[in-house]
Amino acid sequence: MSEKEFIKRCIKETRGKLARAAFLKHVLAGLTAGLAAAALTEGISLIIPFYFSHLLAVLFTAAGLTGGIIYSLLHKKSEKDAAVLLDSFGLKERVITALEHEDEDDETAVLLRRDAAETLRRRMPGIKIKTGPWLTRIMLFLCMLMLAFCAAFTETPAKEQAAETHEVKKEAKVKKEEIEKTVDVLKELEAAELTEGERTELSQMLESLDSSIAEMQDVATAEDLKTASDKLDYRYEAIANGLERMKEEAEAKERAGENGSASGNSAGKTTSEMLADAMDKLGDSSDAFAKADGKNEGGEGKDGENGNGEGDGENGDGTGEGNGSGEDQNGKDGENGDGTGEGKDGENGNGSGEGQNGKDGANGNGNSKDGSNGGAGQSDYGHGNAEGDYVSLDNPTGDDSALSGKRDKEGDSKITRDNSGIGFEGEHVKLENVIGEYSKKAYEGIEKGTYPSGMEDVIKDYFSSFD
Amino acid sequence: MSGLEEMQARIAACEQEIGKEIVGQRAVIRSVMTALLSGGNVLLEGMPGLGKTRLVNTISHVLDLSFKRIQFTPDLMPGDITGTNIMIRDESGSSFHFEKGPVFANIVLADEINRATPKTQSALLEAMQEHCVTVGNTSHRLQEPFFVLATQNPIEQEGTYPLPEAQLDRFMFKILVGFPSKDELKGIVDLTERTDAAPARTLLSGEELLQAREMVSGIKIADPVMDRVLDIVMATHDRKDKYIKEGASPRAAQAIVKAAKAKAFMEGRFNVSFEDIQSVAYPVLRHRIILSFEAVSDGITEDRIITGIMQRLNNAGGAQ
Repeated sequence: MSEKEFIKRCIKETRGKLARAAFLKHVLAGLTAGLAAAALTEGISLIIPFYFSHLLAVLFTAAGLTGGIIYSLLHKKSEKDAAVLLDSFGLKERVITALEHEDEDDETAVLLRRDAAETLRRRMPGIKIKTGPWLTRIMLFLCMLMLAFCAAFTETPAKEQAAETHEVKKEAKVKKEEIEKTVDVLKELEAAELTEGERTELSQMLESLDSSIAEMQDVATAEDLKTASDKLDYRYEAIANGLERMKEEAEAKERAGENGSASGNSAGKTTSEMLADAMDKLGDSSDAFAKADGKNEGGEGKDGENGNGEGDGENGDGTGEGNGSGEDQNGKDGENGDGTGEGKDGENGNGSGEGQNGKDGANGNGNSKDGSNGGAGQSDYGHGNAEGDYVSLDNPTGDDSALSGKRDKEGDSKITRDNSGIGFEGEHVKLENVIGEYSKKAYEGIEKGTYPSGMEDVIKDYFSSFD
Repeated sequence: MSGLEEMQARIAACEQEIGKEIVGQRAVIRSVMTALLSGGNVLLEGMPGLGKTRLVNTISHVLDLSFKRIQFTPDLMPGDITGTNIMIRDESGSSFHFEKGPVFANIVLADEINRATPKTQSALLEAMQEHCVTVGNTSHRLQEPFFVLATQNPIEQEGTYPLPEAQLDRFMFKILVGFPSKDELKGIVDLTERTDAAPARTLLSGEELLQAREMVSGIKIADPVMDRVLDIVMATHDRKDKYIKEGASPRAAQAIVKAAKAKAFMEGRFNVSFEDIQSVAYPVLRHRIILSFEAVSDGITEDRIITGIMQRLNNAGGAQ
């Protein structure tokens, strides 16, 4: 092996060792720095509520590691570095000089290479390149690691608070997005033909929703969220009611001018259809709208009051389909439809209602109040499947041979109920509806600032206790 | 053995031979030889009677070079150094003839150079720089190798003309000649009393010395070592250092490299090391750094400043 090759080989070996040592050193330093930052972050989160401390700690550590790797790659050790390192073992810069003049062949350069190679051969066995471990650095790294872990897994009230605040804010964010969606839907209604009053009402709805957005943005505690949510629910309810009313008015108008030109937008939809669409869309995002929507659909059933009876009128088949799938109060609106909703809904439709409310399906299929001559209905009242507890006598002379109702031994029906006159029990109104009315008034009062300050929460608590 | 190695061996032998005549003062001998090999001039500062004249005499003998000594006094004129045109009358008539002065020698000892007037000093300094003297309209080339060794007495400053900084810069080295140790002093006394001591032999010629200079200039220097030289010179211009009024000139960097090459050559190496740089930095820089008033009042010397610079650079190099 020539002197030049020998020197190059020694330099290459040294460079490899040097590069490995430098890489480990820089990575360790980067990791230690990252862990120090992570420990600091975790330490701060022990005192100050900071939910993302774990994430930030991991990011700091990863950044430290990446920084160490990048630094070691950018500061790669060259052959010159290796040569200078070799020279530091008493070679008096022979190696670096020989390396820099390796391509020269004058007498001095040749002698220099020979001298450098001979000195290297003599000294090389004693040259130990330190590649670690660096006790201080490793100890520092371990200390930082332990510190970071201890801080990360120590539970403090600040951490619990941070977690709670995070959840609250997350929920508030979801609600805010939901409100924004509602706002978008309501803004679409601006294209509909609305009266001046309705437009004012619509803009008030939007303003109230903007207030809710601001409230959701400012939410910091669970208490804030509850308050903002309560207000939002009230506003949703108010908006739902407003839209429902607007729709009914629009429908009334449309019915009134059904032979005239129907009002609508450029897309060919009538105002009521647009409102219905809006309520459909909003129904997905809020219970209040869903309720209103159910009510609306039940209403359709009502429209089928006369069923297919184009001109059949009162005595028609009463098969109008209400599809009143709403619950509770809303089902009622499927009064004459296929009231599949629970409760007293489907009063006169295909009353598949359950429980107590099923009693309202007393007249079964087609036995709507209006289509009172319909077929046999299923009554869930009492024993269920009782056929036609309510009967209408088409023969007022007393000939009851055509009646199909249940009779006792004496041949009389046990139960009779009047729909009018002194025997009429009167309209049943659900408690929720009553409370709802009062609740509505109360929240309106809060909105208008009718009540003394500080009483709002008391009022809200009172009404929410009925839920 | 190659020509280069043979020359290294001969130079080392010359150094040993000079050491026979000069007891102690090894560092001074090495520095003077280094300056000789790198073509620089030397300013020796020390008390009288420390063997300066003997040293120059011995060197001239060992290297087979002509030697002249000029004792500088306030009334010394430039012509007394350079020579002058004199009228000669002979059969053919009168004519001017240039009578060479003592500067026309290979080695010139300018004793107590600071006692002469600046005009006279500058005559010598021009010769040092240009290696020629101009008398009238004629320039006369000095013979090579040309080497000036000037001395200064650091104690007696009355009636002296200290060399200006610009002229001090012409000297490659300023060597401090210290008082010998007791053993060295005994050796000096013994040497004076001995009659059987063999005189130093001539081992090299002027021609060979010039060859050696050529070889020295071929000595290799690596980039990191060259960077260190530049860093040293730049460090003398550190404005934050309150003890430095003016730093070294670029000529200092050239002088350090040349001298370091000569030192490496004399030590049998073919490359310059950091140690060579550090070693020659003191004699090269000490007369080129101008101290501030604070340094003088605090008793800070040039050597102390150079040591500080070296330590800073070594630490920075170690940290890398």
